[in-house]
Amino acid sequence: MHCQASNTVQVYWSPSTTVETFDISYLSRLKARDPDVMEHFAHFFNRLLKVKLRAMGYRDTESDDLRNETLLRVLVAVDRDKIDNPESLPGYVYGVCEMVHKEQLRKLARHTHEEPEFFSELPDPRPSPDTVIAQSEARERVRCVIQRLKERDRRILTEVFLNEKPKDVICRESGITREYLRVLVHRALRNARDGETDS
Amino acid sequence: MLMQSMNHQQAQETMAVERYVLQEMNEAERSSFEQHFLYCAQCLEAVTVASDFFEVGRDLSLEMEQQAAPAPTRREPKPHWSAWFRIVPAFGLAVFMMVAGLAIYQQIEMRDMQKIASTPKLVSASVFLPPAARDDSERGPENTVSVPRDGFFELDFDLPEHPRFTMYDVQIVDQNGSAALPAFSLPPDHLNRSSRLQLTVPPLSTEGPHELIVRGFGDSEKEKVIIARYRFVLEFTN
Repeated sequence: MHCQASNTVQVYWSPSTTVETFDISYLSRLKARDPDVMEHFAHFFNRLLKVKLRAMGYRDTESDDLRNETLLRVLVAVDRDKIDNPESLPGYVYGVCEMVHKEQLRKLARHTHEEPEFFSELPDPRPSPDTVIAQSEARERVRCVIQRLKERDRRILTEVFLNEKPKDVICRESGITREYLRVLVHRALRNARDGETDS
Repeated sequence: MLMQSMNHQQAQETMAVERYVLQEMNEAERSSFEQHFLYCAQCLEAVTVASDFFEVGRDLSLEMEQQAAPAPTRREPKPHWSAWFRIVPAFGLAVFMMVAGLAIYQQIEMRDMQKIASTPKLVSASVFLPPAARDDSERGPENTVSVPRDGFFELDFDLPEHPRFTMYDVQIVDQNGSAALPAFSLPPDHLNRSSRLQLTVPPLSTEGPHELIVRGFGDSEKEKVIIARYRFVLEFTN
């Protein structure tokens, strides 16, 4: 067991080696709190949950408690042998996340009724220091992709990222269709990927 | 409710990745696509990269917006009880780890891992280390890894036949035998199942010859056995 500085943990399994491990042995070791499996569980599902919660409109900085709550509930379910099919663990985690999300919405609705200023103060738009450090490389790549776009496409994508206006409004104001917007995103992602191979 | 999973062809034809990150899907469709990509490595990778791209793009756009705006007259938010919510993530993680029964230092390690796992790493080089790189007696051609100084790279290698161990670790040392990276453990399950390993390695500080050493050990860490050594030459391109 090692307890070194942060660069100890900067070597990690590529995604292709992490997807195939959900079997009975994985769940047993998770139940037994095997450090390797615990580590994998936390990293792999934390990332998957970020993907899901972002698609549901959450910023990473806003979804920490939802992710932790989800992982905690899944661990409890594992302890109680509630997961019959180990291979379905990713789907199970997403199901729990949906539930936690809905509970959160209900809770927020109650608080909003009691505390009208809640919504205006809760979201903290500042990225956490951890996020800033971890995203520095990816930021450069995304910045390059954005800079290479035509002025109009750059403006559209920026508005989409900011997510302050409904997409229909962005499209109408820019004189484009939703289809064009998807293609624009598709091309930006492709350019990011091509940039990777160029470097 | 059992949701019908989208298949790969449907996902591609409907630009599901783009629509997912653009939040264009309704709940049923989102669930259907999730049921697909959770078990499809290709879509999982695509949707993760796209999602990270959007998250980073949002940060950049906020920055650009702030830079473009005239000197901001930022109002300090008054303290409010909801500020406690901002420490909930750290508290939640602590509770999670307590339940997990892990030690404090592992919490720190986990935070770092979460930080790393949340961002796609751009791999500047992917190098296969052939068996010749493994055996001292059989000097094959040099395996050069050419990367920018700050570039991640991937090492892909096969382990030779070896007895089963309960634990494994890997270390990368430079030509002086100094640790270029501290030793880190490998999942024994994976090693006992497959001899092929792929590691994504963070930027190393020095170029020149390096050795990747894979060791196995039993219950006592004193009984470490070197399973294989792989030589490669790290070359910076900038």
